[in-house]
Amino acid sequence: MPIPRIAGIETEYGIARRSAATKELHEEQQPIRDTVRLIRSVATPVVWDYATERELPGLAEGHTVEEITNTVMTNGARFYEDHGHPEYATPECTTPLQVVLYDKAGERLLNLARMTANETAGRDEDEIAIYKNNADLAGHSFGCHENYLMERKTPWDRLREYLTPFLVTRQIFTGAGKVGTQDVDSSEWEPTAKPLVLGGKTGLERPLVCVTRDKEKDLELYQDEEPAGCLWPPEQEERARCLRSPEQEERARCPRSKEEAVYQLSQRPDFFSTEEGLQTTFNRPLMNTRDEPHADPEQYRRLHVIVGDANLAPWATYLKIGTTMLVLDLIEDGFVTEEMLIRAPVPTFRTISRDQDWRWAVQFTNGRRGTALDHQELYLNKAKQHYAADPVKKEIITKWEYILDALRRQDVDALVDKLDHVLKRHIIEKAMQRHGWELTSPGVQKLDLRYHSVNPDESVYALLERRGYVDNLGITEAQIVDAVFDPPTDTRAYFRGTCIQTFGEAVVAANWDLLDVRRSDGTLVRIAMEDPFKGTAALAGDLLARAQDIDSLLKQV
Amino acid sequence: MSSIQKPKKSTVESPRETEEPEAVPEEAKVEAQAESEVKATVYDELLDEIDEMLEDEEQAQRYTQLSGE
Repeated sequence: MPIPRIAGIETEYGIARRSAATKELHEEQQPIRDTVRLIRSVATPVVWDYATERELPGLAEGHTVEEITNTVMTNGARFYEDHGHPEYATPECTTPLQVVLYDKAGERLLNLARMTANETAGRDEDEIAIYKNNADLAGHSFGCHENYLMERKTPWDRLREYLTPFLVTRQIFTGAGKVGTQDVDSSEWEPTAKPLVLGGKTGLERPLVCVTRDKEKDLELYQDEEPAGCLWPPEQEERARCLRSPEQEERARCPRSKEEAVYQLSQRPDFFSTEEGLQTTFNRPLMNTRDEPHADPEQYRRLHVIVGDANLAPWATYLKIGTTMLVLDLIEDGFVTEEMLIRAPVPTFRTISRDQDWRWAVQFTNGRRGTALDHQELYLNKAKQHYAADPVKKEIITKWEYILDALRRQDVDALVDKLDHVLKRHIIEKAMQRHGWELTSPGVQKLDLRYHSVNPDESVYALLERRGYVDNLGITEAQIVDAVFDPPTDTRAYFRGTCIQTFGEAVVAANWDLLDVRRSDGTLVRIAMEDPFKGTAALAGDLLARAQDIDSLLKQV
Repeated sequence: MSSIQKPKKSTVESPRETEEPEAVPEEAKVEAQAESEVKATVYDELLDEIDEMLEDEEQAQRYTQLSGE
C-alpha cells in the first residue's frame, strides 16, 4: 500500500519589460531587477530560511520588505526570484484538484504582483509583462517542476526505469503547445558564465538569495556580497546571460524557417538531452536526481520532475499530477511490468512532441511497435485493476481514460476545452485561416505568447475561458481567490500559513519544514515541522485558534 | 492548408458536420447547418476580440529571457 501522497508545483514565469505606452519590448531586459520588484510588491514580512536546505547559518532577522527576494505567503506558498524569473511554489497539497487550485492561485498572485509593481511606476515608464510558459524564442527554457513525496524504500533504479517512459508519453495530454522548434544541444554550453551575486546582507551572516545550488559556490558568493539594500548594477545582470556562440544562438532561435516550423505538443522536449542527472539548467535529464525530502529522509524521498509544461487548462494540470501520482503508486506497489519499457526515451520525447499527425510512435524494449496511447493505456489498465475502489483515484482514472479515448479517436471537440495543446492549436488555426498566416508569421508568434499571459486583459487563454471554451473542473473564481490567501487544511502548510496570517511580524522566517518566530522578549525560536502530515487543521486548528499571541502558541507547542 | 497539419479528423468541424450528405436526414442537415453558422459567428466574434487584443506593438520575436530553473 503506497503512502498518502503530497504533491506540489513550482513554476518559473517568463518575464519581460516593455513600454507601457506602446507595449513594445525593450532591447535591454532586466529580469532580475524586475522580478525583485514583483516579489517586493506583494511580499509578506516572512523570508525564506535556507537553514535546513543549505546548512548555512539560519534565522533571518533585521530584514525589511525592501530586501526581500524570497518570501513565504499566507497560503503557505513560496514566492521568490530564481535565475531571473519570478517563481511560485504551491504549498503542499494532497490531491490533484487541490494542486490545480493552488497553481491557479499562483497565476492570480503573479498578476496581482504585476499590477502592483506597474502601478508604482509612472504612466510613461516601462511595465512588466508576465507569461506562464516554458520557452522564449531565443533558445532559453524555464521550468515547471512537480514534486511528489515518495517512500524512501522504493529503489531509485526501479523508479527511473518505469517512470521515465511514462514521462516521455504523458505529454500527449500534458503539453502546453508550442509554435516552432529549437535545436538546443544544451550540453554545449554552460548556464552561467560566472556566479551571480544577488541580494544584500540581511543583518545576519547569510545572503538572502543565492543562485547556485552548490554549497561551496554559495559560500563564495556570500563573501562577495554587496552592501545591504542594494540593487544590482547592470554588469551583474549581464553576467546571468547564458554565453553561447553566435552559431549556437542562431540554432536555438525559434522558429527558423517555414519548412522547419511545426506545432509541437510540448514546450520542453527541445531542451532535454540526457536520461538522468542532477542538473536542471543545461544538459537537462528526463529524470532529475535531486532529493531534498523536506521531511524525514529515512522515510521519504522527494521526487523532482522537471519535464513538464506550465499548464493553464485545469484538466491538463489535474491529469499531469493525478496520473503521475497513480504511476508512483504502481511503482511503489510493484505493479509495473517490463512491457512498459521503451527504447530511446530522449529522442522519443522529442519526436512525439513534433509529430504533426498524432501517430506518436513508440518502440517498446520487447520489440513491439506501438504508440504513446498504447503505452499510456498499459499504465491506465494497471491503475484500473488496482486502485478503482479509492474515490479520489477512481476520479483520476475516469478522466485519464476519457482523455486517452478521445485522443485515440482524434476527437478534437472532446479535447479542445481540456488540453492546452489542443485549445491553443485550434485558435491558432482559426487565426491562420482568417488572416492567411503561416506558422512563422509574427501574428502567430504573438498569439502563441499571449495565450500564456497572466494579465487577463491581454491573455488569449483568459479570453477563451471567459467565453466558455475551457472546462475548469468546477473550480470557481471565489475558490481561487481564497486559495491566494488561505493554505490547504490537510498538510503542514496549514500551520505555516495560519501562523503568518495570525501572528504577523512575530513570524520571522520559514521554509517547508521549519518556522522561525520571535517571542515578545525578542528571543528567536525555531519550530520544527518535519512531518508534512502534521500541523493540519484537524491536528492544530484548535491550538492556533486558542493562541492569543506567539508566546501563548509557543507554550502550547 | 496551413503549415499546421491537422489530425485526421478536422479540428474545425465536428465529426457530424463531415458525414456524407445523403446519409443525413434533412432535418439533421438543417440543424447541422444552423449549428455551423452559429459556430462560425461565435468564432468570428472571438477572433475579432483576439485581433483587437493583439493590435499593440509587442514584438514576440524580441521576447528574450534568461534561462532558469
